[in-house]
Amino acid sequence: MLIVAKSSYRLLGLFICTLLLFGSLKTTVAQDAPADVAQDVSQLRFSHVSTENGLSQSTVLAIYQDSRGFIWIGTQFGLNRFDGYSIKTYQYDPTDITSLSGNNIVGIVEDFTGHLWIYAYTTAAVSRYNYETDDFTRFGPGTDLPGNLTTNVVVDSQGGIWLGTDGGLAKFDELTQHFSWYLHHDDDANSLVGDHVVSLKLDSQDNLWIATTSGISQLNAVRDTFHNYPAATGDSNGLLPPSAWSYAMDVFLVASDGGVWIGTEDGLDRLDSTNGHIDHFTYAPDDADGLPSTDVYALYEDHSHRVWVATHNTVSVYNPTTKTFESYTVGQPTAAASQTLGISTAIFQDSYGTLWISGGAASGLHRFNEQTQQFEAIENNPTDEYAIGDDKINSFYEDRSGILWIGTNSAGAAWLDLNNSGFALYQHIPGNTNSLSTSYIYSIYQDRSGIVWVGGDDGVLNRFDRSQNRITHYEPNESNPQALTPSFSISALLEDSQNTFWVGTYGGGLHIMDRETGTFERFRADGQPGSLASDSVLYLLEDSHHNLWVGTAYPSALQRFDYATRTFVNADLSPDSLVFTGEGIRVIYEDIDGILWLGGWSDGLFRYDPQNDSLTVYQHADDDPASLSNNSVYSIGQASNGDLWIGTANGLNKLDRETNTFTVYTKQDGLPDSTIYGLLPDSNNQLWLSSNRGLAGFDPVSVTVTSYTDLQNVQGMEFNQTAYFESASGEMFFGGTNGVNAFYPQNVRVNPYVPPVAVTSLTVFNEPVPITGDGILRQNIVSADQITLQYTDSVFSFEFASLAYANPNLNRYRYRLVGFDENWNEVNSQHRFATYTNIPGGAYTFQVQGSNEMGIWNDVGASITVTIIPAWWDTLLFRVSAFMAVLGAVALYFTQRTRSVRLRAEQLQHVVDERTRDLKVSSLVSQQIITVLDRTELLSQVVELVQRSFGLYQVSIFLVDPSDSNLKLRAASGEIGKRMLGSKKQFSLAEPRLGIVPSAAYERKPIVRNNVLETPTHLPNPLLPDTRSEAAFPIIFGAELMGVLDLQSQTLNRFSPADIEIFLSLANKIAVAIRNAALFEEVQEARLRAEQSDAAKSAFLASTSHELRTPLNAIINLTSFMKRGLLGEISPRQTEVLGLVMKSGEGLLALINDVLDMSKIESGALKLYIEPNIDLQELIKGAAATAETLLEGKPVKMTVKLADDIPSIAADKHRVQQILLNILSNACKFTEKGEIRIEAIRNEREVQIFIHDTGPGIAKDDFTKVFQKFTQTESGLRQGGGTGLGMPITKSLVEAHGGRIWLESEVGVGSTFHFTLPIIHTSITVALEKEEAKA
Amino acid sequence: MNDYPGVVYVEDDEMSRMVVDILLHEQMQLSNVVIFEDSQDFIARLDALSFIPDVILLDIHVKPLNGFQMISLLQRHPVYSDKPIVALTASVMNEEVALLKDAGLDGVFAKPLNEMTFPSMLERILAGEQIWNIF
Repeated sequence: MLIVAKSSYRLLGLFICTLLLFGSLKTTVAQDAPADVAQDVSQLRFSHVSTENGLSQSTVLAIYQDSRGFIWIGTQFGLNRFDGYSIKTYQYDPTDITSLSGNNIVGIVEDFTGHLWIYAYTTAAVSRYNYETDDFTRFGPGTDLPGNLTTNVVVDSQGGIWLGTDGGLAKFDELTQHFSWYLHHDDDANSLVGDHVVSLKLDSQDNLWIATTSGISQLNAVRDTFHNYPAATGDSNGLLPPSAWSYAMDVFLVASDGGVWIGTEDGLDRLDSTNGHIDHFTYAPDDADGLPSTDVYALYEDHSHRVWVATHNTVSVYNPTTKTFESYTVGQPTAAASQTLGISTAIFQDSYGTLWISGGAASGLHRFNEQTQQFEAIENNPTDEYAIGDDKINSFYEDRSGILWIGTNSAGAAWLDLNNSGFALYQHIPGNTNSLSTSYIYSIYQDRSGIVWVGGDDGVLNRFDRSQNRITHYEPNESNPQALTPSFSISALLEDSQNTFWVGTYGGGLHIMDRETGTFERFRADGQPGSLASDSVLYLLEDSHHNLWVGTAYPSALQRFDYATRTFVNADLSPDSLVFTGEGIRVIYEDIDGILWLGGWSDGLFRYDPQNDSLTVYQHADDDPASLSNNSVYSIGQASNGDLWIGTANGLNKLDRETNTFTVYTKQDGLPDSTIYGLLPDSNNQLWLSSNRGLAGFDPVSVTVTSYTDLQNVQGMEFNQTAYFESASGEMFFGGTNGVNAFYPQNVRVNPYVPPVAVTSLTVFNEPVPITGDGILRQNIVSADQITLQYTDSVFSFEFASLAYANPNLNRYRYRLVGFDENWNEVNSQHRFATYTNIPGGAYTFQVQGSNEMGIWNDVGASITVTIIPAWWDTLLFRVSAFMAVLGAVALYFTQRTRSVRLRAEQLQHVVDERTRDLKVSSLVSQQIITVLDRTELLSQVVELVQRSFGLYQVSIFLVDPSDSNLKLRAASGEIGKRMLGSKKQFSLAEPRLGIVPSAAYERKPIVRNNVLETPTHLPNPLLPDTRSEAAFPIIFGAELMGVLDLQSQTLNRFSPADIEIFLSLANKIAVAIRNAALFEEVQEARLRAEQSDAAKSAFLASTSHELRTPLNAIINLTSFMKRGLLGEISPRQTEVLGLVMKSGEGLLALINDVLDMSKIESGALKLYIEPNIDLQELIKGAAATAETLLEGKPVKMTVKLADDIPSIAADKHRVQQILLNILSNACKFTEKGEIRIEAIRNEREVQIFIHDTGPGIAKDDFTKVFQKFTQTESGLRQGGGTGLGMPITKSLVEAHGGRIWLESEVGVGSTFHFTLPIIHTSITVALEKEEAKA
Repeated sequence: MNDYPGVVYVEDDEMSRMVVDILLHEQMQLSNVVIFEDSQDFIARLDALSFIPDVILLDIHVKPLNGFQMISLLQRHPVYSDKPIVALTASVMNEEVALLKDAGLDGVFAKPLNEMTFPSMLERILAGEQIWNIF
């Protein structure tokens, strides 16, 4: 924030200078209260949403607000829905046809039915987002959309959806879900002028303008006639030729005067559509009023119908009368970019009329200042969280609440609340003498010449000449009688009507300053008659009779300065002069009637009438709610309607002067805090309050509060006492612990936008609820108006958001579940959740309302009907019948008429008990089995559990064997079950069968025999002689029959309809469990196979390596011993031959190493052994020393230059060494003279290493070859040797570390290899995360 | 001839024994050098050596006890437990080196040996350094 302020001085100075130059009618700047001063560019506060918040990628090309209020952000890698807090990402998924069709999103538009159309670069299909189902429909290959690439989608005023593609124009028909085509026909002059559509525009008459590579067509509003304006071919006098348009996709403008503009790299055309006349504009170097360049990057018509044309470094406004251009420079070309605007230039005028431009090179964002007629650069500052965040801006979008959204190239989306632009901020900047001497402010004053005087906790007086952007410090100096006396703070400042300037301090007395000479005259409390009562001056006031009043502390006194005798006279507060018992007088205020109001440090409020020396005291009384709320008074102010307001340490008070009572406002009334330091009423009777919790505007009539925070450039939360001031022009100043804010209240715009409120997610047991045809949520929660929950879904919660983006953290919420909550629950943005548990069955309505950051509420909000299906024993019908039955039983019991009725009641109770138990058991069984992942284990557990839990005779599970489609017995309970399994019982499913099990499978429904002895088709199982009832349930997953659950009981009529439902649901759960187990098995098998194959590969490589290295050990070393004469003298000829043998051996070793490395890389068996804290400096130096020996005395100098801040990194030490040696040994091999230089620097998260040589260099065409396997460059081949694997291996090793490698080279000059290594390797990060998860 | 350091080397490959023999005797002029062909033999005769070795070089693929088994025996030996043990091996894939490190060795010399750097590497081991760098 400090750094922003730094540029603010400079830019503010510039701004005011230019104001002085251009605003010639204005005599002094400071006295003016401009109606609407645009905020200084450096004071703009941007909010951000980036990958850190979950955005899918950082390059934002398209931003759109849908009719529900959500902001959609299209990036180069996916689409994002943003609600101000969280991001929901949509991406292309090749396996899901309802996913987005492409990730590189360039456009988003909503049609009249609420569908969003999303089109992407280089993606064949356009996607339509379906709100209800929260998925996409793709239109492209396979549908009747013409062409391969959709370049533009527009929705006309009738709701017609038009798609421009590279194969024609298409209109989507909502009813048939098909496209009508509009294509070019060579033999029809009235058909579309060409099929390759690059842009579509609608004009104000709803004509559709189609720019194609063959010219322009206009389709009239009735959509029955094309008017064509073909592009010039050969010498014909048509529009600019199509070749130039190919890149200029969006340099096409249909202006409101009927001018149709086409910008190209060869100039600019304006077609007058009213008469067909074409004006060609080209670059005319000698013509100052001509087009400033041939390249046109952007065209824009602003609200006043001015046409803006962007070229290299300028933006020009077209003058239609003279057909000339007036040009404005945008930014300065830099060393990095020779032009400030380029192909992707964007121009935008916001609803407040401010024009913004950005584009092309990294030239930053610029804003047009209508007063200076200049473009001002908005600087990016990486250390300032509120800066724009990027120098390259791709797109602008203004939402319905007046927020400007900016798509940046590498920092996600930024947004700026255009409604709030009023606050300037001045601070101390360490090291900058042209800034305030301190940021801890106690006094502010603006004198009649416009100079702002500021004092703070350092006792230094600051003179701030805002017109010159010049700050002068007046330092205290005890020994210099003409300097300020050292003090705790400068506490009070005043210019009296005689132009005397008074400087009051806390602890250093009072001064008169000579502003011409910068000298001070001191007044001290020296105990002499007529001296100052105290050296601690808290307040200075000149009343309407030109009396100067001084309020002091320790002791507390009110004194009047006698100009004639230059002495201080104590106010005669008789008859009751003892009232000042407190520590001091903190504030003195004269009301319109000439009454002085004194604020006591701790003893309340005093009304002092100087005419008759009468004094009234107002103090707090605990038992009187109409008394002053607190005796510590900080500030007093009178609104223009006469109301007197008093700010205290605990509450804001309004004095009713008729009744002498106070109305008190505190935090409970929405004030940011109950301690009110500064208080200034504005001309609209609104009060501006400073506190310990920020700055606020308070409207006493409606009792509404508007809070301002650092997002609006407010200095901070904490303000200071005595640091507030209103200038004669109405400019307000408030100071705090972090600087001074200055603003005109009329410029602080309130955002009146009533935000839509949306329920953004629904979870049950903290799990997001999917959209299913028959489940809880039948459509997207955002558009759903009802949900249906089962009584088992006993914990559910809603998340919601007010779609007001200015400062989402200040949005407020209230919610209730009608039918359950009696009152609204009020929450702030940190608690945008409503969670309900164990809500009884029934119908409810969930309602939520929200406000924007200014406290403007959407009182309609969002609502959802919540139906909770009760447990069947919980239903009213059941309860009534149970109640009736019990009642009947009781009545009959008492009358003792019959026992059978009582028995029925008992039976009923028994049934209830049994069913409750069965349900519980069923859910218990489901819970247990769901965690068993071994299929055999699962099945045997299920049969045992079910048999035991339900007291059954026998439970078996049959499964369909996919190999022969037969139903086979897979699990059976108990000892008998084991014997049954031995019989390998199975059924064919090819035709209907009589048995209960195959019937259940064949018919896919439960088959129940409640009395098997009377069922003729029952085939008794000799192993189960006691079976009386039997039921078989199909186990079905999705549409797939997985098997049958067979239950046998020794009881007649064991399976009631309610039981059947329970067992059916159990069968479904078993299906899921079997499915899970099967999937798990598949995954396990696949993993095992992969592991085995990896292990086999590794073992093979290891043994190959071992077997080759062992003989090489002997070959190389024994040869060397012999060559060196260790084994006896040898001849020079022998020495030479042995040298060759050695060299061959070493070559072979290098080859083996490379081939093994390559096979590891190829087979995916390359593993890095990452160690933390690898000392890269040492590693580089070591590698350089090793490589140096390869130079063999060539005149090559090897130097190592490492930055001091090279950190140790997490890496595979041996592999990093290999990377270094591979590159270095190449450099040594190829460099004959000159130098080899190794440098390393630290980037943000990585170390970058350069290895530069003065070797032969590599031709540009060979750059990619260098990193390809088995390819050697021309020079490499000439040099001979090497496997051609070194660099590919190096590249793989660098990449395996998460780094990058590249090369720069010039033939005959040398080469530089660059590579990077991340400082923290990702595997370490992953490992650490795992550790944490374990902990 | 120098009697420091004393070196013991276990290796079943004849060629490798020859290389190390020449290296230690002829090049480095060491007198206290014993080379074993058989690991069982080495363990059996360990306590009967005429000198106490300062460093032990082990091939890993030896028989009947392999390098790892020898290491665990040596680590429990009253005299040899604090002597540096270095693997002299052609099994120098990353994962193999990691195993050696885990087994508690003090370093690895990769085959083929580099006769130029061998003496200084040996010195570093004797000075208490660990060497896991196979270049």
